[in-house]
Amino acid sequence: MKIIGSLFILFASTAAGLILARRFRDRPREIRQWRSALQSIEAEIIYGRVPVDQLAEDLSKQIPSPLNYFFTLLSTQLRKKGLPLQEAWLNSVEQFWPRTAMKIPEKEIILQFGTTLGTEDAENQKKHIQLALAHLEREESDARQSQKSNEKMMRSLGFLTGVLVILLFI
Amino acid sequence: MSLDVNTIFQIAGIGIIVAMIQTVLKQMGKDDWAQWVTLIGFIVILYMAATLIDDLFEKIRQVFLYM
Repeated sequence: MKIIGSLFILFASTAAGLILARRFRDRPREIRQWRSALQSIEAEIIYGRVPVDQLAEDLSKQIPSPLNYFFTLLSTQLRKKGLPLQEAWLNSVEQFWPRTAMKIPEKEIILQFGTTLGTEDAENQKKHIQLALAHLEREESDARQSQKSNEKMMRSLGFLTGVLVILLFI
Repeated sequence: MSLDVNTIFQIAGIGIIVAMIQTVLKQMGKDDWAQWVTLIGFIVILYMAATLIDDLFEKIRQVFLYM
């Protein structure tokens, strides 16, 4: 009976450690996905002059898993509900954010980029995209650093905390 | 008697685990956390040892000072 209980505790705490570690691992990957998405947006806007609702639909098919949901949200809000772009962008970001491992600074960058999207001509738009890309690059290197120092620690700390709790309760 | 041996093993185990946690935390550059973990582990073990010594004194009083 004791052994079964302690196995449960050990399993739960190890799983918690793994989940916390995964949040640190996913953050740089998701930021990189955002960067490639912004680069596609730039290419489509500058060279293709594609409207944003079409762009969102295309991107929702091209981009890998966590981020494509954002563009699906954006294109449904633009197409089905007929919201203006700024509002649709804001709503999609708010709905999408709880699903990601990214933190507040990235959200601010994306929101700020959303307010400039579609308000200016192609040349200025390109500058805004470059600005957002630079910000995201800085955040990505930041996230990489915190991943390096935190991921392994969270994993081993989860397991060790489980063993400690078992020893305290036994 | 067997209970006491169990408690001693428990204290030893907690010491080992706390030392490992401290090493991991220190390696990752969180020295202040490592200090807190060590302090809390120390307090827990001190409490257990105090309970044991309390038992001992209680027993001594029962044996020698029994009115």
